[in-house]
Amino acid sequence: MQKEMELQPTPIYLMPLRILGAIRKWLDNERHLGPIMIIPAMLVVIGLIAYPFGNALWLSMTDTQAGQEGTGNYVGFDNFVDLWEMKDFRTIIIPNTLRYTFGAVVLKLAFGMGLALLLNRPMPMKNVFRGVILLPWIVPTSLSVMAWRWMLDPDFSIINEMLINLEIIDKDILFLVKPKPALWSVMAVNIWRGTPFFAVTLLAALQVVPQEQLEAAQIDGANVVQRFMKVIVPTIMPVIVVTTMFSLVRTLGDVEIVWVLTGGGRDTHLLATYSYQLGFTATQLGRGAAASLFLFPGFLVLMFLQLRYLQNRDY
Amino acid sequence: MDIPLLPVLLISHLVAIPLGAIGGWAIIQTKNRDPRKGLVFGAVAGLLGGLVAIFALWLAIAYIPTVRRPKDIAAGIEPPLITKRTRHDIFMSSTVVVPLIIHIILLVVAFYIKSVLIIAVALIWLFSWFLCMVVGNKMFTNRGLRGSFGVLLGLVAGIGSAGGVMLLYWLLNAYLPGDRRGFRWSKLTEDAFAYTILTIFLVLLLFPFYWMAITAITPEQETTRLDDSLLWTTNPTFDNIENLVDDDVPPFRRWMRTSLIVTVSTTIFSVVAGTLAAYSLVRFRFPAARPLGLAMFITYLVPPILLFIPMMRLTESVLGIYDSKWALVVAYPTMLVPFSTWFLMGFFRSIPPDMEECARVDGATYWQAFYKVTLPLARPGIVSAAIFSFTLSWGEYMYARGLILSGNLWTLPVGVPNVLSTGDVFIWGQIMAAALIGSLPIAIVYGFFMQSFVAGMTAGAVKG
Repeated sequence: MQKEMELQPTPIYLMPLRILGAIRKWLDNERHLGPIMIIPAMLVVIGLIAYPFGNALWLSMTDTQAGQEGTGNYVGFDNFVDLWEMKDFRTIIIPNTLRYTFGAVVLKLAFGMGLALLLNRPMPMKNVFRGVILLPWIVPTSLSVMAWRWMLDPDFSIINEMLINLEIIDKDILFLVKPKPALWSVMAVNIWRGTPFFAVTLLAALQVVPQEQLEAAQIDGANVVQRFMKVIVPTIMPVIVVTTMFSLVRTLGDVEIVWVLTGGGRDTHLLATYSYQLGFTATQLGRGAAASLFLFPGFLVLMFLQLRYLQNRDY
Repeated sequence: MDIPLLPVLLISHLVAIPLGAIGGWAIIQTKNRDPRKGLVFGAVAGLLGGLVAIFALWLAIAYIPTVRRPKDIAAGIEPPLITKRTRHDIFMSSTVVVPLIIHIILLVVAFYIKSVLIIAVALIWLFSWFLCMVVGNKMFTNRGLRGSFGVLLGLVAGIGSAGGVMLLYWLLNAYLPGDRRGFRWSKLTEDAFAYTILTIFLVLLLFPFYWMAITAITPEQETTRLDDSLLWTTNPTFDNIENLVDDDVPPFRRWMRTSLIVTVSTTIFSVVAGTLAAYSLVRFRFPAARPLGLAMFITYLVPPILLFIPMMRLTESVLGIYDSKWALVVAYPTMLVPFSTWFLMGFFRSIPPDMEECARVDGATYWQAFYKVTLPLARPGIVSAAIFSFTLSWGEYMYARGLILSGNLWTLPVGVPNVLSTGDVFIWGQIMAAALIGSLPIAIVYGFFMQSFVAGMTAGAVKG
């Protein structure tokens, strides 16, 4: 009896409702709804990240040139070998990349930490300060770098002008003209842009440092440095590590600052900017992809470290 | 009216030191603290003010020809043309250096009386010195004011800084929590140190924006003449901004529009996709949930430069949208989706699942539990993710420069550095005006949502 009831055919006009109901019912299951909800994001990850990345791997082993017939042949590791055998690549680009990345990140961490500690003090208008220091980080990079380029202009640099008026120097520093000052300038701008990020993340971490421990340490006679090294740093170590790793990745892959400030001239090319230039200006896509892949081992190590670090923590 | 230097210096000190001392005594007296400390403190503050006065006067002499040294007045010598060299000579002359040495001796004495104070005093002193040097620079000659104003400045600076130090100390003390009984020199030292460093930080971080704004309102022909007005302009104008927006050559309004379309569309798509993915990865248990979450995190770390060249190929040969804004619409989600997902995963994790479970017990479907219960709770996080995505894509440069070749199709951050120059000559006034306008949307968005943004970022950061 029961079975017959179920087998009765549904009237045709109710079919859409039946189907909708069935879909709803099918969806009301985390094993079905879960995968469906991540479809849009996964499309991006697979189609626009994984596929292009695989494409980059392939391109780096071909002699592809943009708009050239008869290119795109497999050439093995020739691109990598050629790049490595270039004199500028070994004497300028690689050292620049290392200096730029490590120098800038270390200083960003140091300044960011200092700024975070200062902002963590009780003071009036705290939130205003915290918001204002974010400005260098949120304003479009190319625009703020243009302001720097204007400030470092060979002829009308306001920084030179101020230093001369303060009688600290007596002739202009040619910031963006000579190779060494040019690299320092690029690093300085990177530090200027990245310090707020470190400051805000570390500041957030400082909020959870237990006040009682600090007070106890103070009563026990620990001085400022000891309190910092023994209480504050161990507590916020996870955030320091994660932020530093993240910043290393971003600084290693940074193109904009060098590109807008010097255009890669004056021996300021980094691996990232060199690859960008090869791909975009010189249209040597294969070689450019190879240059960018020189960065890959670095990313891999950083990624691995970060993953391990995150997995060891319960959050 | 010419006033000789030495009497003015004496008078300014005679006024500043007692005023500082009385002020210090009065403030500390009213708080039932040791009045003697107030006297010492106030006197030192007065000394400090005197130092500032010396520098202010020195500046006045150096820059305002009508203030003359006593012996010049006696000899009836007209003030010479001021050059860098004579400025240096005037500074080294006895009328400035002698009072300075006396001050330093007095400060050293103060150092022996209360050793900790010297650090605070030295720092504030250093700071005032810098301030006087930079801010006082050329102000008077530029405005065509007479020398007597410079003397007035010295007096005001002396008294003002004496009172200012007292006020600052009082404010600091009033705002500091905890032990407020008694006067603590170490606290003052610490505060002076901290606020000095903080000020230096703020100046360094914000100066480029100040200079951007000043250049934007400086007449074009004046931007390349720094000698007239060093740190500001005397002829502010809105010509740069008006030219930029009205002429539309280069197509500034079009860049702005392109930027807006690309930014808004990619932000909406990425935040929606990120929200759905993040919720699903955090809450639902299904096979592959964990590896997929890991994949999200890894792609979040992949830097765009690795994808740039294949993205050129993808948009050109596969999709055929190279050299149009749609190329950016395709490219930006590669940065934004992994970011939003990762960011919101941290946020969803911080929302306890109890309420959803209650809703489920009451008969809600999984979707309803997400849509009606969790989503409203997650609003601050979603807003933060949206703001950050907006910022990222509004300021993006690398893809926007590489995937669009035609200048009139560019976005704002690409157009401004690349077009507003004729050959090697940059039109700095207009560039800075454009940079200012391009930065404004972000600044406004942050102004409105800063609280929620900082909260969201904090949640994400602490969670790792």
